[in-house]
Amino acid sequence: MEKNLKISGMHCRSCEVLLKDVAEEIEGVQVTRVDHKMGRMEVECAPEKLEAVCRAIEKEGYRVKI
Amino acid sequence: MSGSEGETGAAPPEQAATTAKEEFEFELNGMTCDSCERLIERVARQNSAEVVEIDARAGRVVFRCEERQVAALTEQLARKGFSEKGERDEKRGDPARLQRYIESIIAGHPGVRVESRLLNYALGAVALLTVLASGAYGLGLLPVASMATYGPILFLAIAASVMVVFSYYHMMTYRKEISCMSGMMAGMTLGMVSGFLAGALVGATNGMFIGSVAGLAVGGGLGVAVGRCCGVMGAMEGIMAGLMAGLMGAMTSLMLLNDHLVAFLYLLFGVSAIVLGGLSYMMYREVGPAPELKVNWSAFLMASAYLAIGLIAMMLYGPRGPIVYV
Repeated sequence: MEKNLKISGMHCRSCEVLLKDVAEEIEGVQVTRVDHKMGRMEVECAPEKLEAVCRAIEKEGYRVKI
Repeated sequence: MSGSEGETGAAPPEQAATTAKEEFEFELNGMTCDSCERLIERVARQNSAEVVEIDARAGRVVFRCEERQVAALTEQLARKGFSEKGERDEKRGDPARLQRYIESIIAGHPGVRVESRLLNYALGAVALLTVLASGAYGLGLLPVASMATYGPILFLAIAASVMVVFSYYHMMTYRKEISCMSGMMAGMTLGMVSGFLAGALVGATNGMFIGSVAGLAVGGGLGVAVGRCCGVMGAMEGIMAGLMAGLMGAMTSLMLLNDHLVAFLYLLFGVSAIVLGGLSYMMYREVGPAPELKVNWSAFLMASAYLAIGLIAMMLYGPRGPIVYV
């Protein structure tokens, strides 16, 4: 399932790389696109993994909305 | 040998491991904010290293790790977009770095996976389009009297189209990351090279006027497409590069009609490949490994095919001037 997440707090490419790494550490999650200017991240994962992805992103200090 | 072996050899494993760690200072390009610091700390943890000091504004990091981990750490940092400042300043112009870059692309190294994939796309596109063109000729679809005369020019049209599309997509991949000055230079360079190639190839078969128009269209169009991200100046430089190069390309072919024109066109292709390759290398050195490739095989093939077919159609069916190669 592909899901579009709205993320606030990203301001540079390092944020993109950081969040991609953090999300993909969770098994079964693949980040297909992340854009700090649009504040968006597209992930492909099972629905039950989404919460873990959001928690991992929030742990890094960003706010996320599904 | 290590200090622990020179003593009694009785040091416990933990102490031996600790004493083997040293502090290494890195000066890195690309560090701009606390996100960069967090990313670097993460890379360090993943590589069994520890960040002792980090300052994004100064672009300085001190790691504590074993010496043998430094190479892996450097590579991982480069993959995340942080290249070493010191290495660049001390070894600027070192051909060994360019050689390593090329070898990495051919070997499909993860740090240059975008370039490797684009290269694979390009080789596939050249092969496929050449086969299709040969097939079209075999079926009598191409109004070509002699393949011995026209063949090299048609092949160069295909190869040049694919090469220019490669360069375009490579630049689009880096578009968000490069500086404005580099973006303008990229637009100008791609506009000039593609305009010159198109002008020279079409000028050879159709004359000065059509060759110049083809060069302007291809060079100006691509120059604007790449340079416009840097504003009006970037777009204007792209157009001017296409105009000048289109005219020069067509003129050069007309001047060499009786003097090894085809050999010159091959030489022109080779030099253009070096220039565009250098441009791609410049992007890589400025930014580090590209984030992700924004084109797939079919889009790449279609773009190459459209450009190649457009040039070939112009060559075979377009109006002709009074003095042409064939």
